[in-house]
Amino acid sequence: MTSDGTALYVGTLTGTIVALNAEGGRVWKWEPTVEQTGGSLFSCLCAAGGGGQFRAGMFYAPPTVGNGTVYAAGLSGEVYAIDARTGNEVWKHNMETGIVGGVALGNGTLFVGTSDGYLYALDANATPGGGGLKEGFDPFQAEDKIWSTPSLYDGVVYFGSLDHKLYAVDADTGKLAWDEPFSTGGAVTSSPLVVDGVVYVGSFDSKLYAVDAATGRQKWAFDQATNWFWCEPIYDRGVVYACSLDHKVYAIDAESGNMTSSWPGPFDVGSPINSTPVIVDDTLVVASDNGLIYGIAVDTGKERWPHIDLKAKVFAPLCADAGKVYVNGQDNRLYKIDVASGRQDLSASLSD
Amino acid sequence: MAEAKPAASLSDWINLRNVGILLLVILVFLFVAGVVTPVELFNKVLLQPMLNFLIIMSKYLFGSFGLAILVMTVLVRLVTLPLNLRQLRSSKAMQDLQPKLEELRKKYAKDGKRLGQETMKLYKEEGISPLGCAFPMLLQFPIWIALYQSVIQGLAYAPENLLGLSQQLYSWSLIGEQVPLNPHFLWLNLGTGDLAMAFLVGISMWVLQKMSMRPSTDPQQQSMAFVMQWGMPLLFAVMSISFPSGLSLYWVATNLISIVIQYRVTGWGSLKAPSLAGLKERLPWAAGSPAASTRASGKAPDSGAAASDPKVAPEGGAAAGSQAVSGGGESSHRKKVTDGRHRGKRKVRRRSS
Repeated sequence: MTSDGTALYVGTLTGTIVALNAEGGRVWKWEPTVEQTGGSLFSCLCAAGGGGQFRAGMFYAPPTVGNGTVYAAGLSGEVYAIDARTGNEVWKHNMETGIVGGVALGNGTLFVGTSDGYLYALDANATPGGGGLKEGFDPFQAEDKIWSTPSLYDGVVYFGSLDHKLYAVDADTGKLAWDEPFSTGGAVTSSPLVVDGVVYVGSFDSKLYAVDAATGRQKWAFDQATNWFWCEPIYDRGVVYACSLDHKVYAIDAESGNMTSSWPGPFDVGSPINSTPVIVDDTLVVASDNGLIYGIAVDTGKERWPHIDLKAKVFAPLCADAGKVYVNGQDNRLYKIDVASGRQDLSASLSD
Repeated sequence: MAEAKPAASLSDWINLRNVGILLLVILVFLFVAGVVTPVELFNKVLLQPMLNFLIIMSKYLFGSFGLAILVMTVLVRLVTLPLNLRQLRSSKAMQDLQPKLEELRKKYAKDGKRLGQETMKLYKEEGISPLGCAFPMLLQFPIWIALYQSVIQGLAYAPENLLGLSQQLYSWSLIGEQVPLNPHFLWLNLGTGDLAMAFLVGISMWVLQKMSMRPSTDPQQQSMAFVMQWGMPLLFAVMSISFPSGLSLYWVATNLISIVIQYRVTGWGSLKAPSLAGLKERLPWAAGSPAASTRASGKAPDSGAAASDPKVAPEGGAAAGSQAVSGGGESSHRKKVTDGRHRGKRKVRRRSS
């Protein structure tokens, strides 16, 4: 789910993209021209417990908005460009392999990582009916799947791979920007966060790394978590907030890599955290896997209001807009939380 | 005069059935009291140890998850071997009892209550528990399911699988570093279906079923045997096409082990190709064949295959699986069948015949 200030754009579990206004009213709904059902009976069975409803055309990552266009990449391998105003498809391009991460947009180029381990660049401004690989950019091959959404910073694309490495690739040529990729002790599915020349990325070795964006050298590694870092960390005024599958939110000093002294300790939400949190007006809003929404005061690390139970699992990143936080639940509903009061304002179906 | 029974001691009480019942009672109490849910218990006791062990093994087996699956399969089968043997022997005992049961069914065809009483009496006399074949099999199911889940979650092909996996792993860096596991083994991608593996699953299951079956003249039992022998392998083969081949690898390995165990306990069963000697015995026109002589004397012929196979009881290809069906043609049913004593009895009877 993402917002451009005029509408919310939500990729749904059923493979559609819906544009909604702030009150949950539908602006438009886009569906792929060819129904993308897929997966074997077995894949449906083994994905039970939240995954049984997934389809090959579904969107794991939120869409990206820019230049009046919504870009989304689906598990079916299609990358779509959709007119943000009308919901009409502008172009699509089939990468011929599954896409789990989202797309990064910069300088008229889309960057997308695929399940066959390639980072591709596509021409974002292709004419209607067009769409294709960007000339001059050699697709970069990692050693395993790329499930993290790439991050674009200062002409370099940063992304992680299940091969345990963090890569920095020149956005124009597709060549490795560092002497060698940065190696972690586990798979990297979280999207790298780049702030002030430092890349922050979590890994399956239960560590959060700070890496020099220019050289690829490690600045520090935070190692107090006891499970993987799955989602992207966020940054606010010298503190990196990282959520782990060990149920905890860590506030880490961006300079030293130690837990910030203003928090009494990590904040425990009682279940794994898969979705990237957001900060609204000094409140860190975190969604736990089992649908509990917490508002944590960033200066004290204490709960600002009693947590809200959505009674739906939450995997998707949270989205903030105008003092509200929007949550895309696994029950295919959109929830709106008023951050100031800690109240749930809205619950709207995405499938109607 | 009946002998006075000695007082039962604790050691008499401790047997598989009683321990099982006690465990069941404790589990029900824990579930009702809300101490633990069935899923949590399954995950903690079976799934997590198995899954983590698989991942650790894959590290030390050249990073091969396929080898880890094979080793784990062998270990699981070794652990469950006593249960497996017990089940096979119980099944065989039940099969050997079929003629007597058939007699009872004919004798008390119009008195269901008496039939039940006499059947239970017969079981008691022969020292057979009718649940003897099912109970050990049931005990193995959770282990199989855990192994199945381990393979699925270990390969973690979709993000939601990987998220699920993260909650089952021990927080040892050694384990976290192995994820995602290497899906390549031989020609296989263990996370996707494979036609050759599906064929191997089907053929190994067919062989096992064939070994478990015994010939029958009863049309109803024949049709059931046909379904078991062809339907099950076909069903598993078809499912294996879309299953991750890591699971198929497990099924092929476990079937091969079952075939070896089955052979050790009951021989080739119905799988044995009829030898020339066996054919001669079966052919009604062959001079001096048992078929000819029994036809003359009016007795039912013995199974030729059984007679020519030292490992097969003369009753005719012992059935071992709980799915096996029985047939007629037995020449003698007087032996008392008890676990682990079949072969000695067979030798005695072969000599006497």
